[in-house]
Amino acid sequence: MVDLFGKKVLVLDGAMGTMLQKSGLKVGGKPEMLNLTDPKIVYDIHIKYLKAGADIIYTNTFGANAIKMKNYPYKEVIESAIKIARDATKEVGHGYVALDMGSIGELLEPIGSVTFDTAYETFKEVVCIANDSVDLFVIETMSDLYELKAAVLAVKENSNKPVICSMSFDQNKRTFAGTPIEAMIATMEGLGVDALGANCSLGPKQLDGIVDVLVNKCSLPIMLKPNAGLPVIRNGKTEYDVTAEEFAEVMTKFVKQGVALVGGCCGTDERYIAELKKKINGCQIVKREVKKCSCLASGTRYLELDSPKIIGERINPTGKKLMRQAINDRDIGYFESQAVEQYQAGADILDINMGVPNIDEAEMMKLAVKVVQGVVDLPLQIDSSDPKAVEAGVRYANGKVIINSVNGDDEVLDKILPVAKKYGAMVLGLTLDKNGVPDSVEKRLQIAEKIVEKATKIGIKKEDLIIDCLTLTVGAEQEQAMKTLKAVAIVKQKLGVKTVLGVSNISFGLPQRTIVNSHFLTMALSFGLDLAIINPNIAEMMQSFRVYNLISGADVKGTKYIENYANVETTTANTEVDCDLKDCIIKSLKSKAEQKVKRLLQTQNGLDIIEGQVIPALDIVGDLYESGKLFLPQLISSAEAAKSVCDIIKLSLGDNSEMNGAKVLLATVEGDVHDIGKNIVKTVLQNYGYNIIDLGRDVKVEKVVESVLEHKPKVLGLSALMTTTVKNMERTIKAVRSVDKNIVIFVGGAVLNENVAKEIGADYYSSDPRQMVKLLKQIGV
Amino acid sequence: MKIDKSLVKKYLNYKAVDCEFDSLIDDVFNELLTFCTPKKMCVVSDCQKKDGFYYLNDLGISLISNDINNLFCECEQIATMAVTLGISVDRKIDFYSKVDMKRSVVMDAVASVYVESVMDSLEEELRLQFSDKYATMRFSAGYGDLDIKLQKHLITSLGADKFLGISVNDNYLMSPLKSITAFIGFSNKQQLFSNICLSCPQKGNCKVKCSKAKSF
Repeated sequence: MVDLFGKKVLVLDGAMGTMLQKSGLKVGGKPEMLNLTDPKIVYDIHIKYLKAGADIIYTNTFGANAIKMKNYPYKEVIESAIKIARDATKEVGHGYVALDMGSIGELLEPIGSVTFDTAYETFKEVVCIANDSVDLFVIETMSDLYELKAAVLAVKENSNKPVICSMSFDQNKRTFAGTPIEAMIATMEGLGVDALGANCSLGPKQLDGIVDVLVNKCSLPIMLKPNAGLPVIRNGKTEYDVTAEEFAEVMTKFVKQGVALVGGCCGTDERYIAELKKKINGCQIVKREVKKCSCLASGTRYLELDSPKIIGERINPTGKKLMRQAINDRDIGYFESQAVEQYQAGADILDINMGVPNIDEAEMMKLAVKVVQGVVDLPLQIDSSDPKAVEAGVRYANGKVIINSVNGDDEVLDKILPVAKKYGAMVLGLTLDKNGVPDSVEKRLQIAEKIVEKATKIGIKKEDLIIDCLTLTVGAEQEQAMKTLKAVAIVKQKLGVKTVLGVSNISFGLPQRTIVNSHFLTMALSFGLDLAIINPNIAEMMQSFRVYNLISGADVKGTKYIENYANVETTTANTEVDCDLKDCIIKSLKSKAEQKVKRLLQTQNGLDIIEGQVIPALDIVGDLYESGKLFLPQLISSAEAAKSVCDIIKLSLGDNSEMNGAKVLLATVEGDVHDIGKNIVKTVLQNYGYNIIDLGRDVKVEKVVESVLEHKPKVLGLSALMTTTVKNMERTIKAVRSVDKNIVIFVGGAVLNENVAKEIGADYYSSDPRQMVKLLKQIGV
Repeated sequence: MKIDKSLVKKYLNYKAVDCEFDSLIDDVFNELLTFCTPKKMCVVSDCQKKDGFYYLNDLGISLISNDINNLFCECEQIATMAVTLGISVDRKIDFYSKVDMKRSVVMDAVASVYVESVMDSLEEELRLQFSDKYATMRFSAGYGDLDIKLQKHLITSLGADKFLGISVNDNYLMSPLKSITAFIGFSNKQQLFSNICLSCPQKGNCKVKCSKAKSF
């Protein structure tokens, strides 16, 4: 079967739903149930498509899975669907049967609540039911790249049958979930699907731009299954604006561009397929030149490594006390802040390393990957020496990532390279082996050659390889600095792979490290460095990087340089009337408040500043809010100014636990994803010194109970916006009370009031953060 | 394109006259327009009474609601509409909640007002298209006695999952969050459609009574 792909133009069938409606089926309901209740209708549709010339027919199983058909006999539905399709191919005497899988219909984390594992298991169940009796699998009309990845893994790990994937793109060349076509190509090629393309959403006439990207960037056979034009409402009914003849004509043009599998989606019927078959008769597969390129992707971002890029190094505990602490405490908020800071500073890729002793690194890596990709959409670099942690990171990452790292040691190569191959990740290879770091350029090149040879042997493409020629400390081994740079140039030239360096190692032990690091970065880039692992929050490093790109021409027309530096204010004398820290917080002057607190910390204790200035300022803001003189946005701005001040103080106190006030556990209840209110409460309470454990949104009852038992908080704050989720709030309260009778429970949210709060068993209702602070003080927490 | 700033402020309970805040709303709205492309769709279906309630022939949906029966009295057709701002808005509001809470809150309110204005314009298009008929007020699942559970069936029947990317979770919450579905009835006969506010359980203590609510 798979041999057929890319050898001859294959015709796929047309729409199932459209045909079912033509047979008299009302829209709505579960069309898959017809496989059991009226199989003849489905059978006749397959026969029509096969007779029209379809080589592959899709089973009537688009929504047949445990989530979308929760209260239906979906197993029987799938089995019956395959039998109906198989009977039809036998009757007509040709045709392959493809098991059709659509989205599970609910969004995955972080926007939705379905976990990657749940999605995977849902698809796996379908694959296992169908595997023995179908010819291939089709995953179609996907919008979320993460869900598609779960589905593809479910097929690849549980079947040897071919798999075709297609996503639905809008005219902006992105799916509804924001996935660009290039990100789909980069990720799916890596996962080893057999054909790839687009279906539904648009008509053939709108596909030009999408087909252009596919034929230029996708090395796999390309499939297209568009709608019969765009939907138009005529007399209140949805119709499509392209005839069968027009459809076939445009599709034939695409075949001549190199598309290899063609069919129709919504609005098409057997006439479209028959026309298509007639028009493409005799068309051969067109050979395409696909430009080789090194690239990465996240769910909503595609990154071609065609010019130097920055890998942010901050989510790594090596030499970073606060990060080590955050990993031990599973402090999600700290991971988030590090990810966001590096994103804002200009990082292109984020390194994630969870290597702290005595923790389950694989589990922590999974958590960190999920947290980081929940707040920023930069592609990731999974950094670990533990193969289990590497696989966890690569599996749960959305898109195409880098694995950091392998080296010349056979044992390491044999463990990590297959993981990279399976998930289609780029691989970073260090030029060292069991004997350590070689001191000559030639020996480093030899190790690089070995890594490249081994990787390409198992099918990893050269463009997916990155070599690290290793930065050594110039203070200790001065002659090695130039050898590293020469090795970068030679590896790049001789092996044609990308290069990377961890830049800051160069200055270890020297004073004014930034001076050395930034100049070394410029030199390395001049020697051909592609990827620099640095701290992007250091302005001088980003200046060196951006200036190099400006001068080398990588930053075309200096756009990025100008974007970053055109509006930077130069320091001028401060003519404003001076105000104290308290006033700065009240007036929401965040940067001024930060300057003030830094100055105050030179002479005063951090905790005294909080007691004497921050808390009184917040009280004043709270009073003004309460009396209607200030409003929510201003309350938030003041709270954020205070938060910045508290963060600076916290940093100055180091591990000092004196700052940790009473523990407050916060969560938006199961089923609810509105968390703005909860987040505001969190910001305000933190400023008052409360130790907040934020479980996030859509938090399952069990998870709240588990966290109450683990953290033993004095207070639990629950939020819900919808009337439908208040019942989950009640369930949560009941479950928490059964394990902790003394915990004080606060509830808040648009649909709640004091009466409802009492009815569902809460202790207090709080309409806003200010009220909650007052109530907490009243009850002495 | 402009946003109704007074409505944004109403959602934020912001009662001050403040040029700086007005320009923040404009700035947030302009940012929203750079990444958000609203989508809308509707199906106008013939309808009939089945077991005492309206049944939409083309969607296979029953509107089991006495409020709908009262409001859509003697309608021959009912339009089912869906609009969304898309998931990128959810993501941006989320992102700002990590770096700039104030902007996140303002963007949330701006997006709510914007999605409503998109629904208003779809409603207006329909009213123009059916200008020879009498139109009812808009009504959504979750209003009055029309069960919000209808949302799941409605989205799939309409094809709003496929064409707009809207999904509904087990608690009947739509994703993207800034999405709206609604019904509007059309009739050949002029009649007095009652105002939903009159039968609302919150009558008398509603804080957000819509200034746009009209009597039909």
